[in-house]
Amino acid sequence: MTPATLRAALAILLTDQLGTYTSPDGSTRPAIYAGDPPSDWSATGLEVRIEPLPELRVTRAHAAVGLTRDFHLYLIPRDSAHAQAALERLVQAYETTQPVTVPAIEGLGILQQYSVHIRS
Amino acid sequence: MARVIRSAILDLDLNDAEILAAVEDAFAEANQALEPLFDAEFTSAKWKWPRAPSPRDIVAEGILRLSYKPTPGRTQYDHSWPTRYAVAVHEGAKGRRNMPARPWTKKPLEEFEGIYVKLARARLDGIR
Repeated sequence: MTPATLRAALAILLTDQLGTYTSPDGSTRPAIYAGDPPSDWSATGLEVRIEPLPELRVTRAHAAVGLTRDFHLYLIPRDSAHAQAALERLVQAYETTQPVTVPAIEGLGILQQYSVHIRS
Repeated sequence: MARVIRSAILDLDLNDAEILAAVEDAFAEANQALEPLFDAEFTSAKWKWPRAPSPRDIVAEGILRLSYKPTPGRTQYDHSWPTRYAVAVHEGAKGRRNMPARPWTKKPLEEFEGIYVKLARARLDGIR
């Protein structure tokens, strides 16, 4: 699994929950991005951001070594959107960590958002 | 303090209270051992930052680091940093400016089990 394939899979899983990116030329796309979207795109509704570099974990089992990738996601509900349904779907569809609520910090332009990791 | 069970055939001396005390004391001690490990995570200049200097430590004014508040308990031990922005620093956050995640509890908690097992073993070995 790569950030790009995870992005594509989540775009389908969360299709009715995702908000919208609008670029200056007026074109729109679902608000889910691996990495940082261009700064001139604006987001409405629920935005999902995937950290582009998964963390690698090496696990040792008897006579074998396993490699898991840990993808860090942020769910940012804007306007009157909610992240609840999207979080529930993620937790049911993937092996995840406990989602953590990140309180807003107005002075830094940080909206309340949710941090969760997906393991693959 | 042993629990004694007497029967016609034999007397059983159970030192389960001692065993429980040993593992609970080890649990408390292992959690206390985390405090300097958390502190080392704060002061270590290992955290990537989008602007120079990078990497850097997590000590700006030291408020977050010094807000550490442990709440000991027999079977649950809470470690808390009760500041408004603690979660954003720990998890990171996306916004006007992205905040990178600096999970200062991660490495110490990964080490916890090893510390606890070692301390519990030492205490249990002392029980006769």
